[in-house]
Amino acid sequence: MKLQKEELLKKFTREAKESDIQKISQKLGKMYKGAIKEVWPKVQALYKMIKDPQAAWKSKALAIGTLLYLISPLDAIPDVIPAAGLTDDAALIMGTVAMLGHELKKYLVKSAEEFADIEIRKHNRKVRITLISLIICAVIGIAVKLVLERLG
Amino acid sequence: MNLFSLYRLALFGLTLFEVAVFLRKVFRYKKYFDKLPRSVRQFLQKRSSRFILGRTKVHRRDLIINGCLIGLLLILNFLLINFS
Repeated sequence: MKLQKEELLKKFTREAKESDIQKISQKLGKMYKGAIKEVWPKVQALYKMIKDPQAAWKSKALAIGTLLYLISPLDAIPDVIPAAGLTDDAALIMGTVAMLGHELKKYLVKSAEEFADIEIRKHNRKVRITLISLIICAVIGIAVKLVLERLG
Repeated sequence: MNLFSLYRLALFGLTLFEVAVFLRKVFRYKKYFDKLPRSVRQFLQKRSSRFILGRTKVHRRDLIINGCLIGLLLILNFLLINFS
């Protein structure tokens, strides 16, 4: 299975071309699930690298190959298998990130910040919804008290 | 005791719980942090404060909106308790 995974990655890397970036852009968003969630900042860093025209082609091809493997439903462990389906993809992403190391660093730092931004935005939204619901409750409470006082 | 009071109490309990979890984490990791060399500690402190300041600047608008909503809620609660 490991051999199959490596062979597939080699094939994807060898055949990588600029037009694959468009394909990846369309399907990458749907991959935010299962084990991939844990390595999402790294996936985003790889995606940023392939979008960067100044990145070296050799590294870019490896990143394109990895992302093509990720979006491909039929790989070493088919993605349709619940839970286990994306673990090989996540492992491959970790391997590629380790291989690209320093080259990926500048994209990774930014991605970590963006990941934090997404979480902060999510929490801010939750806080706002809670506060608005409390305000509505308070307004209803005041109205009910006023009505009861008038009636009483 | 009405539903609104219960809701507020539940939220207050949740807040206390989150604060307790946060404090537990702080005390859990503090001993490891204290063992680090001084230069590493200073580096980490500078980096995290820069990170927090940066995030605060980015999300300033959201923080202001939430602050205004808290202010409005406090006023409404004050009205609810004292005037009606």
